[in-house]
Amino acid sequence: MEPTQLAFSFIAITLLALIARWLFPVKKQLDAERVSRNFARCYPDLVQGQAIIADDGAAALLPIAANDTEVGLVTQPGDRVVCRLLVAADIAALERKDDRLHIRFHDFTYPDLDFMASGVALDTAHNLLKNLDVKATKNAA
Amino acid sequence: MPLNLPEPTVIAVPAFVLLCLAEMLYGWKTGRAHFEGKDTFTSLIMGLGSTVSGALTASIAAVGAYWIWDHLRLFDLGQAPWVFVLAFVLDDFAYYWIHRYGHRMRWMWAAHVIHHSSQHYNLSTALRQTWTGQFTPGALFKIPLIILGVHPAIILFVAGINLIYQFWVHTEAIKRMPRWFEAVMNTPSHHRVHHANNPKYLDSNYAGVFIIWDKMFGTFVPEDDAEPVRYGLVRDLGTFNPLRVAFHEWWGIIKDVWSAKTLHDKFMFLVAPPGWTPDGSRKTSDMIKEEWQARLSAERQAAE
Ligand SMILES: [Zn+2]
Ligand SMILES: [Zn+2]
Repeated sequence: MEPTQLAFSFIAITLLALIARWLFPVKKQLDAERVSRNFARCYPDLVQGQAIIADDGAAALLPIAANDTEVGLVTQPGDRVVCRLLVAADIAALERKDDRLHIRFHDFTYPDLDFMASGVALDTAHNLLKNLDVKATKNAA
Repeated sequence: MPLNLPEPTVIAVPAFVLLCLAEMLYGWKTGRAHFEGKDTFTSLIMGLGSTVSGALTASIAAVGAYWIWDHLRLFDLGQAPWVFVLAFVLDDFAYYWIHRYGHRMRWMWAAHVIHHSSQHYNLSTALRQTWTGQFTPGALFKIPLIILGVHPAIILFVAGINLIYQFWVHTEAIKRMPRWFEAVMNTPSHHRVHHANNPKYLDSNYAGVFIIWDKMFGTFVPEDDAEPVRYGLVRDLGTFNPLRVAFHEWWGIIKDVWSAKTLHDKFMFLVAPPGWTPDGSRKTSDMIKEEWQARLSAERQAAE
């Protein structure tokens, strides 16, 4: 494949993706019902606590009932939902800022996340992840 | 035998692009097809990368194929039209097994997972192809065709036609084809099931062109309107970065093989189904299906 052909293909791909973005804008955000339903789909045997939903509606943390070694994470990277069950060993770094919690994961398929929150919600989210009991073994692929 | 056959997929690229655009407009108008900008971009970049990586390694594959043709073939079936038809059917049969192992052997899954990594299902998903298929044992399944006397150029040609056929089945815009067609051919309905991560649908419908292989070998599952398909992986990706998409399972294998305690476990991380671990701490598709069946039976019993 020649460089010009490659460049032309790249431009065509970018144009198609822009058209897709324009025709199908992402409207839906995470709410309690969507978080709960999707987490139950991925982890049907776990009893969920009260979800902490990020301000931008792009992520949510879910405490698990009677379980201090795991926390549910539900996110919306595009317009679809992705779930994870986090243990302490999955978290590489937690960086608290004024309006967000920056989380880096030991997960090649999910390197990092900005959990947008402030005030009490930020405290709760931070504490939930910070206080994960390290007993559980790492489960990430 | 001088064989100068065109490369069908290269010729088809402009049509692929136009059909993607047409499906987008149709979906926008009717709501019967769904796209997302970042997802579409990643799918198309994976397609471009796949073409580039294929071109870079084509000569190595050709050397191997022609060596087998020169030294191991039993017959030379020539290039009559019936040979192309026979080659197309046999190649599709080989494709079924490549695809089946592509889901059941982690080494091959490392390459094939890319095609399943989108949570969308549209014509751009068809182009979300691997960059690393050449680094798996998949091509070995085609060797019997060469030994039987089908020229490598004919195999390459019919495999291209096979790939073109598979493009159109990646759509939600077509609900069902006529009954006779659904019975014999791979269709959007059958392939939607293949892209599902619902436990009910896992590891089914591996067909390329003819769905009969799945029916013959017990892997056929029809689309159930009561169980809407959810697309993607059992553990979906949280990234659209094409490099991470392309190599994530390879990276996972390297880490697992590196940290495995015995030679047996290292080997199993390569050849066992995805999700296999020595201690069962992750789930294979079989385990997911078993758990789903158990939940279903428990729910039924509770309802009685
Ligand atoms: Zn597949
Ligand atoms: Zn497909």
